[in-house]
Amino acid sequence: MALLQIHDPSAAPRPIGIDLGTTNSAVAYVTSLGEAVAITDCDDAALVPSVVHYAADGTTIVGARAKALSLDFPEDTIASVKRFMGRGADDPETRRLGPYRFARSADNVVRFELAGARRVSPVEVSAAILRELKERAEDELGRIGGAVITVPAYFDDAQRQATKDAGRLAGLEVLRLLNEPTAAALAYGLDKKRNGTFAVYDLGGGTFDVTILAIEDGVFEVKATGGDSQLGGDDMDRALAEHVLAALGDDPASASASSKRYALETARAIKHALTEHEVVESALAHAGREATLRTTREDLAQAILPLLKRTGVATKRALKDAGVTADAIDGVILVGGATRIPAVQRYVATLFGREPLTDLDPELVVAMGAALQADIIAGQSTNDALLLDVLPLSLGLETMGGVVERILPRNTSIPAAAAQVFTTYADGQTGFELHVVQGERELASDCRSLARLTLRGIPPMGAGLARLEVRFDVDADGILHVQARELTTNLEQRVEVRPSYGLDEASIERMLEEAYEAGASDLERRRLAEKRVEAARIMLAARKALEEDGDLVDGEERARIERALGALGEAHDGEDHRAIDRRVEGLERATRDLAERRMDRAIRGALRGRGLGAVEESTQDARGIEKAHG
Amino acid sequence: MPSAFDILGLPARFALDERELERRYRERARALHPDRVGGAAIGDAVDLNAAYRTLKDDLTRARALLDARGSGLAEEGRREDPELLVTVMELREALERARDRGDETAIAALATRARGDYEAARDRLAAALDANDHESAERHLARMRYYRRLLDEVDAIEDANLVG
Repeated sequence: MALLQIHDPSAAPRPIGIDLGTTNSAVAYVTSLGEAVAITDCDDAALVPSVVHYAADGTTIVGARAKALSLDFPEDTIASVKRFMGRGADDPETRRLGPYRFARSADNVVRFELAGARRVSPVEVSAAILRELKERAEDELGRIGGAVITVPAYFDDAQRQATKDAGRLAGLEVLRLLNEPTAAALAYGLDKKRNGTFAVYDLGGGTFDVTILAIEDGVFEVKATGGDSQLGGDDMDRALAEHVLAALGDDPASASASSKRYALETARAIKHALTEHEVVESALAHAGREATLRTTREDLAQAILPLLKRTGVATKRALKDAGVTADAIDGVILVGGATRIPAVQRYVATLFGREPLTDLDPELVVAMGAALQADIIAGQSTNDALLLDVLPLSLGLETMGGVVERILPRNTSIPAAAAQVFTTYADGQTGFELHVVQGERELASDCRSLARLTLRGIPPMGAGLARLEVRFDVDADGILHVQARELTTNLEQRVEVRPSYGLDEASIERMLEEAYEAGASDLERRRLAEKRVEAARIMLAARKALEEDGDLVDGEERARIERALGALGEAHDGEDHRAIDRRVEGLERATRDLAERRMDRAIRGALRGRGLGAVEESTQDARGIEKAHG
Repeated sequence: MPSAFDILGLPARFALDERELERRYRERARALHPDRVGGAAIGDAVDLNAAYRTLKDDLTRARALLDARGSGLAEEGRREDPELLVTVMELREALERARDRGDETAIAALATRARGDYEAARDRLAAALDANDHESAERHLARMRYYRRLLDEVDAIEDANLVG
């Protein structure tokens, strides 16, 4: 039982740091002793799974509870939403990223279609995760101040903008978007008080970043950054999941949503188990099919080698951009859950010719760094570290013939600005159309399209006479602002670059208002909503059991289970979450024997003596892993 | 408007102590970065970063120096050196052939040669600037620019090979 905390209402609000991750998120703050601490829940868990479940009754559940529901409600439970941030609905990558239903839209914004005809955009899903973290922080700290939210260094302008919007939507004052590797280095550098050139190798759930930075006397200067915003632990799961599906005789291309989800969850469990064990034997059981799968560390290493090689390419490029060789690196910092995998650590050691540093928890180090930075920006810190970051990808304009004119090259220190003068190509041209792109390719069509904007009302002149000055300003968050001015007439237009597939300012304002109107979250209401979902899940499991293994129960037992089901159904529709709790227990008691016989039938002797609900719950993560040989 | 040298408090000359440049940059960033100034105009930080970028690179540093000294040659008005054009064109063709053959040794050899030529031009540029011979300086700077472009192409080929 946690001690009750008494908050001093006059205490200054505390700034927080948030790592909004693909798979897991975390929130941290800096104690009065200057130490960065991750906030844990009542189960002592600091990581909040970045999973949001949208229930049919309109409630939203975030974190471990949502994750537990993903197997039964694959389409209404959004995982790895970060990979959708800033992407257009027409992006082919979007369709590949999960078993979701997408709503048709005219504005090219991705929207998930959920139970009860609800629709949410990735920004709203991310905001739900941020709100959960904010509430955790408020429970722990009382009043909170602004927040520093981290993003992969390699995130482009649209992805950064989307993240900032999510922060606002969650009711946070976003002090700064901070690059994840820089945050990690801050956490490390301040702990160790070391000077030198460091590399941060960050392999998260969905993104890979590598950053080369110099630390001198508390100034962290990023020299170069690179990576792949579409590469991470999820891809490893996917590579392994194909083995799982194959073992079950399923074709990855035509497998059902629930089979895919089962295979992914199993693959993730195998991957985690292989961090501890050399070999993992899994008993697979899904949709009436069973199989056993034996996976060795070497199998995993082989499956992920193509992915690791891609990280190697990005790393070599970043080293080259920074003008250093691998042997000039004084230390390699590991970030991200995927760097716990022995094969990844081995690969990194070979890449740099030295063992990477692993003193800090690779899954919390980013949130800790973000908290330190929040503290510094809020001016509460005695620490005078300064982070000097760079633009991750070149910014430019499309010119005639679809060629890109680079205005700001990648790895430019930010904040930064640059201006360039363009002219007309046709006689009497009265407007300019500007196409802002980001990327390293020569042709605009190969780069990321950020925005199109038009400058009108230029008096007609001969071709080549008008002088259009376009100015790019990148702020310290890495977000671009564009300003265009016709020099002969001084006609000026300031344009906020809002990506065409992002949310426009009006919809964000509207969502913000809606969020305020809904008011602060009422704990009772929330608990009721959570219990309802739990009840629905257990009822579903019990009905499934009766349907699939009906021959295991006699008439009397069946009647008892049906009664318990009816009672729970009533409580589910009522308003008392305690009643739901009691009746869940009742149903568990009624199904305990059946669960046992089912388990006997299915996994022979495992997990004996527990109610159906408990078994379902505990097998959610572990299912398939029957035993691991050390 | 203060020159890049003024902003970083460094003497206006081509020779550069890189460590000193970095030290000055860090020192000024401490005073000007938005994280320190807190929401104020970011103009000074932008100018500092631009000045740092200008001085770090040989080509832009030389240009800044020539501009500051009022070297009269406008960007477009500079005379092309026909001999240089021929040499660079030959080198570029050789590079393309080597790339098409996938001949990494030949690419490396061409890169070494271009780098050597670049460095030789840079030494002459430095000497010309010290002697206040702006016309020669402009000529050497043009050479450096051509060789740099060639080296960028080598970079692009090497990058493509990394992925391959």
